[in-house]
Formats: sequence, structure tokens, C-alpha cells
Amino acid sequence: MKSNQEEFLEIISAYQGIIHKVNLIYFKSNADKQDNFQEVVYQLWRSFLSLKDKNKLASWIYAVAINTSISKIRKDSKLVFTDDLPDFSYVETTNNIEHNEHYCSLLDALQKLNEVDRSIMLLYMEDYSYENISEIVGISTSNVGVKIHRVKEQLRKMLKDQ
Amino acid sequence: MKAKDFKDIWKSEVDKNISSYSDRELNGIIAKSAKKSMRKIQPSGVFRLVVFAAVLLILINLTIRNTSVEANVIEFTALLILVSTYMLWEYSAYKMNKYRTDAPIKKWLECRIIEVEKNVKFVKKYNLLVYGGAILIGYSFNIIPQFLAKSFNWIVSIVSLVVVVSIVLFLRNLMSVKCDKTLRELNDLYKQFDE
Repeated sequence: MKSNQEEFLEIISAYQGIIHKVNLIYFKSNADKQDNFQEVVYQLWRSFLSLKDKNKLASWIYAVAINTSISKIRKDSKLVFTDDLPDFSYVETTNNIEHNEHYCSLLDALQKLNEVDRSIMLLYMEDYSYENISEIVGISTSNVGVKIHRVKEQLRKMLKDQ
Repeated sequence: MKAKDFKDIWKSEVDKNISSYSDRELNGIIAKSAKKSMRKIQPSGVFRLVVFAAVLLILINLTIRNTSVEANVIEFTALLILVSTYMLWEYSAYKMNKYRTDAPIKKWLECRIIEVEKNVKFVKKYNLLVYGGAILIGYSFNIIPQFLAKSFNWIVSIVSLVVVVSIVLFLRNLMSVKCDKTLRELNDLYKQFDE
């Protein structure tokens, strides 16, 4: 039988992409992303033993990762005001990849949204249904729809201005 | 760029920009988290034993050994501070265990706002008691031994009172500013749901 730590490692290994994606929209520097990754794993570990529904692991990880990231941004308010270009320095394959221009612009625009809109847009782009987004964020399904529509307009305008 | 393209652009590039950790690296992070979690959430067994042993020792000193009145007063004060600090630690651990980060974002924010508001209300309600008590305890460390030793010094007493009051007022201001800032930020965040 697997120990809790082994089971937890398997889950984090399989779903770590979620934490990286949340980091991408909330943080720009390599150090902040690494710090936040560790903090998210710590918060996940804390709530792992009391996790009841193991069929919704992705939603659980998204909720913890978003809550932890927002909390970190607010605790360390200087993070909000940094406006550097996205930092991809931690990526092992940086030299081999030519970043898609549209992707960089989109990421830059996403990072200019408020924290809640960023999380909703991330979940939308990750193909989450309005019902799932509503469960993770804690607002009504209709409100999710309204917000997504408004944020898409906002993003379109930002990208047009660039 | 069209809005309908957002998903496609995101999906086509995001995975290329993610460097996954190996199982070995993840294991290291998890081990670190587990240790941090043990330290933060639960006062360890060793810590509890040390507190228990210290309380026992002070109680033995107070009841069995024939020590001076000065020593008894100091030991009794130490016992009070030790027990109250330990109780606060246990209470904080209980609260930490109750606090869930996997709640929906809006609910998680509501819980945090309620906690901070409770804290602000408590401090406002018992302002005099909390800070007056802190000044009294801090000052008594200086004044009681002087009275007991019958070597009262006015200058030292006044200076120490000024120092204690300044420190307590400084801490009060620091905590109040921090609490207000946190509450304001949490409320700002909460407003994002209604925008």
C-alpha cells in the first residue's frame, strides 16, 4: 500500500503543470515562481489529508494554487508593481525556443488584469466549463459568463492597443 | 488578435514554456513542505514535553522548595507567561488546521476577511486591557524586583516606564497599520467579484 507521501508525490508529479500555469499568470520573476511553487506544494500538502473528493484533483490544485498566489501577491505588494517583460529564464529550453509573439502579448495582457479576472481567464483557457469555474472561484455560473465576456473584450482591447 | 483565438494561442505555447520538475526535485520540495508543515501546524511532541517539564519544575520550585519571595514572584510570572504563550500556540495551531486553502476563492476571501475583522474588533474592544496589561507586565519586571529588594530608584523606574510605554505603543501602531492594510487589501480583492 502506498504511503501518503508517495501518493502525494504521484499527484504533484502528474498535475504540476497546473501550478506552473498559475505561476505564469501571477508572477514574472523566476525567484517568485519558485517560491510560490514551494508554497503551493506546502498548502496542498496541508490540505491533502483532509481531501475528500479525489476525483476532482485538478480543481483542488487550481483552487489552492490560485488562493496561495493571490495571498503571496498581496503579502508582498511590491510584486504588483513590477512591470518587466515576462521572465522565461527558468525554462530549460529557453535558447531553443522562439516564443510566439502572440503568446507573449497575451501573457503580458493577462498579467495586467486584476487577480480574480486572471484566474477566471486561466480556467477558461484551460477548457474548464462555466460550472467548474463557478465551483473553483465561488461565484454563480451566470456571473462567470458575464466576467469571461467582459475580460475577453478587455484583453482584445489591450492587444489591439499594443 | 481575435478573442476566440485566446485559447488556441494559450494552448499552443503554454506547455513549451513550462519546465517540469523531476520526481527527485519534487520529492525534495515535498519533504521540505512536510517538515515546514509539521513545524508550523503542530507544536512538536518534543516542544510539548519541554513546556511540560518547565511547568513542572517551576511548580516544584514554587511549592516544595523554600526560596525567597523575590524568586517566587519571578517564577510565578514566568509560569504565567509560559502557560499563556503555550495556550496561544495551541490555539493558533487549531486555527491553522481549521483554515482551508482549497475553498472556492470567494469563500476563502470571506473567511479571511471575517478572521481579520474579528481580530480588529477584539483589539478595539479590549484595547485598554491588552495594551494596559502589556505595559503593566513589562513594567512590573523592572519595578517588582526593586520593591522586593527595597532599593527603589526613581530615575530607573521612570526611564523604564517610558521605554516600556514607547515599545508597547510602537507595537500597537505597527499591528494596527498592518491589520488595516490587510483588511483593506482583502476588501479590494473581494470587490473584484462584484465589478
